[in-house]
Amino acid sequence: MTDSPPSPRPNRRSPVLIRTRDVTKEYRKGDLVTQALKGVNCEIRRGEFIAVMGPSGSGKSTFFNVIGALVTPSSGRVLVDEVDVAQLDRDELAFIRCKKIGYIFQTYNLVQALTALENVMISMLFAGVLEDDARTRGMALLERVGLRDRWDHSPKQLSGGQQQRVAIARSLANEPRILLCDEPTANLDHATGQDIINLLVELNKVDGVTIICATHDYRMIDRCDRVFWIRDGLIDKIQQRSEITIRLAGMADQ
Amino acid sequence: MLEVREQSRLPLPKLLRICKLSIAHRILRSAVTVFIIALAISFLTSILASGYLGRAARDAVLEETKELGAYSRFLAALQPFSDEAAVLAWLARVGDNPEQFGNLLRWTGWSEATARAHLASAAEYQTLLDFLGTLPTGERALLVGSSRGLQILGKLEAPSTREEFFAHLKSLKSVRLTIPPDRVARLLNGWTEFRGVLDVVRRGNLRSLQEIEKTFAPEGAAKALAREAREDRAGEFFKTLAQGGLGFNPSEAEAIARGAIFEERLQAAMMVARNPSVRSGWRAAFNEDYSPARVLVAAAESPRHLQWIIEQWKRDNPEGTAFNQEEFVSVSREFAQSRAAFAAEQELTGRYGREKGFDPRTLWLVAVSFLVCVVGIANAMLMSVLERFKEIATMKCLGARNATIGFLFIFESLAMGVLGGLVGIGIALIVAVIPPLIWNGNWLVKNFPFGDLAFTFGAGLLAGLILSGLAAIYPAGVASRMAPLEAMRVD
Repeated sequence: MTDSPPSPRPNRRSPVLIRTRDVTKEYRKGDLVTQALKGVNCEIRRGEFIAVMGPSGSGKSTFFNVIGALVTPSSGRVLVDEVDVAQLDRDELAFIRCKKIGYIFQTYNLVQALTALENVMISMLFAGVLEDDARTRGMALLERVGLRDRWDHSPKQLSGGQQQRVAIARSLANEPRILLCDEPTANLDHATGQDIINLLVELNKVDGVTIICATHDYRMIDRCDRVFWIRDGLIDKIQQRSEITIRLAGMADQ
Repeated sequence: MLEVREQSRLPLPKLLRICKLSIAHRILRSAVTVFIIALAISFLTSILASGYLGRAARDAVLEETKELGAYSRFLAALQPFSDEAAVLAWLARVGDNPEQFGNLLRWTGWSEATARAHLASAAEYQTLLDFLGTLPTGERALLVGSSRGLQILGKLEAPSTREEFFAHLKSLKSVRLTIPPDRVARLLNGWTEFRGVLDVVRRGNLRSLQEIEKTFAPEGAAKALAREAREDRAGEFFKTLAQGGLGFNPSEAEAIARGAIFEERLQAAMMVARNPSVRSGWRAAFNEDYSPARVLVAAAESPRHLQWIIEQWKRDNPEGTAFNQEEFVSVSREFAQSRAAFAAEQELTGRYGREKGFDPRTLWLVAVSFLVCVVGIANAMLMSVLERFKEIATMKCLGARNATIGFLFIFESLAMGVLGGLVGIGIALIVAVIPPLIWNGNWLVKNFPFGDLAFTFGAGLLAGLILSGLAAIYPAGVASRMAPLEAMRVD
């Protein structure tokens, strides 16, 4: 992975990786129907670094989960790598989650009973990789995130930042096209958060992994390509990085 | 999407390792779960095992005392039936025994078909009598007054009494009549007639015994047998006996013959034990109550006692009648052994009961213990599932299929089931197998039921697997249906 040459920046000719068409999602609680998404249309190209922003209750989480194949939409189409996620059964969804998408969580979510290496290996084993190959690749990934010498530590013996690094290594195990990050720096202190952001940016720039990141962290927004602003179940606006840099400068002036 | 088929299941060793780690991770709760399983399994296996051990020990004892038992049955057969009840009990027991059936034909002159019909009726009457015998005393008094045994049948023959009896029986909630009432009525109607049948058997038996007595007069059949057996002519003796109307099956006859020889030797030894000086000097010499049996047991066990007994014999027989010390000791030993065997048989029957399998109360207790066990495991597993929701959802995000997650938890439960089963078997070994080995070691070692115990422990292990598997179904279902979205939850 480290050997691969820096990929060119995504542009209008890069292939579309995720495409949503009129995606709606309703939640029912008794008679109460909540429209979390009201017809979302968007395209995400290969190699982009997307930040998803929005106040709580805006449908941001639902949007995020729908394109991550964690939630099936009530109507509309969600094409991940040209496959309509809404049409898949649960085992096919498991396959998509296994091979195409890597997940990074706010609370790291390492399996407590397993060591760092085993945590990285487990998704490869789910994917049917032979154990020896999984071990070799697992060690390589741990080296990539700078935790090679900690391979047999259990999650309890690792700091928050180290756990998140292991989680990132795990999310990369099956060489996913997409990395889905849910507030990856929210539980970390400033410096550690910066390390994680640097790691994600490096993965994006060097390895060309498409990253979609729900976040409130302005440092993350600073490094992304585009920001999706979600409000009231719709994409309110999509801004390029260039526009945001100006805004951030403005905020810094205040 | 053909590609999905490529996605493999988690390999078994890995699955086992994850289970082991999860169990170890929640070691205290896992230990409690394993302990619950172990208790239920040890309960089941210890009940089964002690039943098998008891039967095995009893079989060994009965084998040991077979000859004396056969001989005493032979002596009993030489006596006429004491009353109608004895005739009925004998008829009910004849069943498929060809020798007994032959005896019956010889005594009564019935055709085989007639005899079979009478035997069937006798079995029915005996069943009815047994049922009446199982009624609680108070209720029996209410139904048939102070009558007992066959009197009851006679009393119930009067239609008015019988109607009253059935009415009472219906009103009694605690007692249920296991025989259909119409069959009971038919039996009771025919009772007078059947007494005639019993009388024919009784008279035939008496005639036959008188004939035998004449044949072997004046010494009697028992003495004659002892003499013939000593000279190895027991076969001839039993042939004569069968012609007289008292047939025994060949292996029984052999045992009887050996029993007769031993009985004669025992009587000779008893003569020594009954010597006047032994009888009068015993208490003074050893400060023990005197009985001939005790003298023989003491002679078998203690050289000091034996020496003393020989001295007494010499004093009583100054002219030097031969005393075969070797023979005396060996008879005493055999006698002591058979007495110990009888005592052990009594004790074993008392402790384990005569019945095979579970009585309803024990069955109920086992069922309840299993139910508690299943609920306990299911509860612990469900707790484990709910508390690991994030871990499960994360694994689903990583591409685990529903089935994989379900297997993971079923495996975890099964692993604890096997562990609990093994611990339970260990407990059962300590509780149910080792104590009888200490108490009744001699008899058990002779006939140790390895096969039955292996079966019992296998059944225990299987029960542990089944219980833990059953208990895991619901928690595993909850786990496998858990939405991957749960992984995003922050709390």
